[in-house]
Amino acid sequence: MMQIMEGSHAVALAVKVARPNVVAAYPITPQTHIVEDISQLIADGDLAAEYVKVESEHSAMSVCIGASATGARTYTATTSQGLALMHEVLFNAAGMRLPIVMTVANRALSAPLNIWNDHQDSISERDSGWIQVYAEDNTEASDMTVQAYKIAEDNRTSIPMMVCMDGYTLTHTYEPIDVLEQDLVDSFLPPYQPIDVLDVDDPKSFGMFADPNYYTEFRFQNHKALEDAETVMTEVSAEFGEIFGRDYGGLIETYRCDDAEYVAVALGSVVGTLKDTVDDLRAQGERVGAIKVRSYRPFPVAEIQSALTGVEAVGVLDRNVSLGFEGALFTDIKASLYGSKSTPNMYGFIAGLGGRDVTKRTFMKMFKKMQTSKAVEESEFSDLKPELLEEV
Amino acid sequence: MKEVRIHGRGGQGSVTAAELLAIAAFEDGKYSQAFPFFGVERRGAPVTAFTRLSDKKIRLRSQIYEPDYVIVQDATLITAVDVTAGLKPGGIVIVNSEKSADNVGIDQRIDTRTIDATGIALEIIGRPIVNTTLLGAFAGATGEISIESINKSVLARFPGKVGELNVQAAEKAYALMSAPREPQKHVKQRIRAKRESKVQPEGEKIIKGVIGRPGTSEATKTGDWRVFYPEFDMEQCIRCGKCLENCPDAAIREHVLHGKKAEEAKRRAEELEKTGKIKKAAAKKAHIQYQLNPEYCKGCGICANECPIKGIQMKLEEK
Repeated sequence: MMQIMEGSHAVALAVKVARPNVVAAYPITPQTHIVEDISQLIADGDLAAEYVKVESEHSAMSVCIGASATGARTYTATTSQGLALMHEVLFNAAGMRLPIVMTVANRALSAPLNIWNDHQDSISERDSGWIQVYAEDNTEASDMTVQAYKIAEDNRTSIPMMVCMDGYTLTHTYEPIDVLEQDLVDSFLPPYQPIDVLDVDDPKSFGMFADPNYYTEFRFQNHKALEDAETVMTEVSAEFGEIFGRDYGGLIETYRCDDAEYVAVALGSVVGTLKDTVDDLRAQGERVGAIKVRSYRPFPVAEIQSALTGVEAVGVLDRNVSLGFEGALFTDIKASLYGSKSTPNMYGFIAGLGGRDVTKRTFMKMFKKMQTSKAVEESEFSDLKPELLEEV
Repeated sequence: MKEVRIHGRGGQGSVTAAELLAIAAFEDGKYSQAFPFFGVERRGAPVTAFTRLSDKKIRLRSQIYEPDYVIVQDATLITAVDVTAGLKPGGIVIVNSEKSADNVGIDQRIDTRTIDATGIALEIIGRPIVNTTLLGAFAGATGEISIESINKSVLARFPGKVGELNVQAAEKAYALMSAPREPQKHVKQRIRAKRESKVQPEGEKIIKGVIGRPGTSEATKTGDWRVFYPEFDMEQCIRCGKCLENCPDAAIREHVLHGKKAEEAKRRAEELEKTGKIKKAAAKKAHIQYQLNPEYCKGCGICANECPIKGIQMKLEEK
């Protein structure tokens, strides 16, 4: 049913219909509305879950780990500094193979202090062993929250999953949402059936010590689970599509790429603006297309290869920087295309950091550079203000 | 697609206005999108919020640079913010002001409509919260949205008496703005943004993670955010300093009288004390005066709230 609401509220309602048993979270802008709404739902008796108030994000994730190990379905949400504070325990959640679901309301990292949107926070947790997806709009953020439980809890994966949605740009935006109905969600998402649980009558070791004889094999299995998640995610999306009418397809979405010579690639909510730019340029006869990378981990190498092989040039917009190198998505796109038959020219663009607006103009300039440049510089910061820079 | 940009000040409900507009459009069967641009989240600080209305699903996520309509919730923003920047040809600007459209300081070529929303809100709602009144004005002036849907969205957000009063205010503004009017002005070209003042060549560059010119809050004259100002009763004041300590903008200062002026103040206070009109504590420090710095007082009312003797009254500023 279509209703208009704030993105944060849409996510809270998606959490509600997923029926978690335990929610533990610490408020931080721009995530706050999500957990406020969930605690309200619990206080009003609309969601039968335990809300654990904690003193930090490190504790929030630790509570989720403990609860999940007992077989509870768990949820938390955070952003930016809060996610950074969770860093240590994120690896524990993944290493213990606990299917915790978390919303990341993406925001920049300090210093300088900045509360606005970019992807540095979640990208910096790339190697934590969590599945990471990025939503383009609030319906997708809501849909992926419910899908996340099914993906994370699948026996082939058993891996925690973060659903990333742009802070403010999605969390604080009102727009029509296709609200998920409880009975349909119940038919899509069965109760969590853990393989192993903490049980005094049947003791098992969770998060134990592993010496060099064992550690590598734990890591290998963790890695394998993320790779296998690719199949699970595609299957779950198809099943979701059958019930709710929205199949997001694989781990990437291609937009007007069929005969495209120049393709731009991005994550998250800027993809909407990118699609509008592609339509404008197509109307002028330009053969351009767009790729939305829905899943950053696992990274859809095969899908990227098949979508981009043979195109003239690829431009990647990163809302993060791996300082000292380039945008993280750009690195991965290049690596995916290594050794393919006809490698396109590739350009990296770093834009939209700390809430700087990404406009159609940003993408127009990207396409222009792809069409005209002789690849002198592969990677650049878009929309820089030279007047603020120290002269070198 | 129609794009609306709302300029207001923190606490005036600009973000709520954008949201209610989007909800009303959805009620009318349209797609809509509303989002804020948060700067400093402080009561009185300039705030921008955006709403898009369309017959198709809206994918665009950037801010609105070329609006079809602009709503200005506070006319004092016109000198501080380039409110008409990018306005599309044929665009309409709605300003909360008791002045006529020709006298609010907006480019004469632009189709500007003014409405005394503060007056209407004070009269009907009893508080200078103008957002719902301006939504009624928007519905009347543009016809983009039905007043019924505006009312519905207002009542859903503010149930009960508060909602009803807000609806009355919106209805009144709607009636005023949808009345027949003179032929409209038309600007042929998009309104250009005024050139932003260049950053000073020295001092404000970023050098190794540091900005070279601190203390810029002094340049932020928060005084023009004010709707109410505090009036001090210096006869009753016991000089406890609570107002001074709690003022978030350090806009209250102590002024010590000397010589003849101090003696005169003391004599007067002693007389009042004898008649029992003021307390001893007030009489003892009569030579100390509290003064308001109007350049920085933003009228938040924290001083009045903190004053233990209720000796500070918030008065409506004449603008």
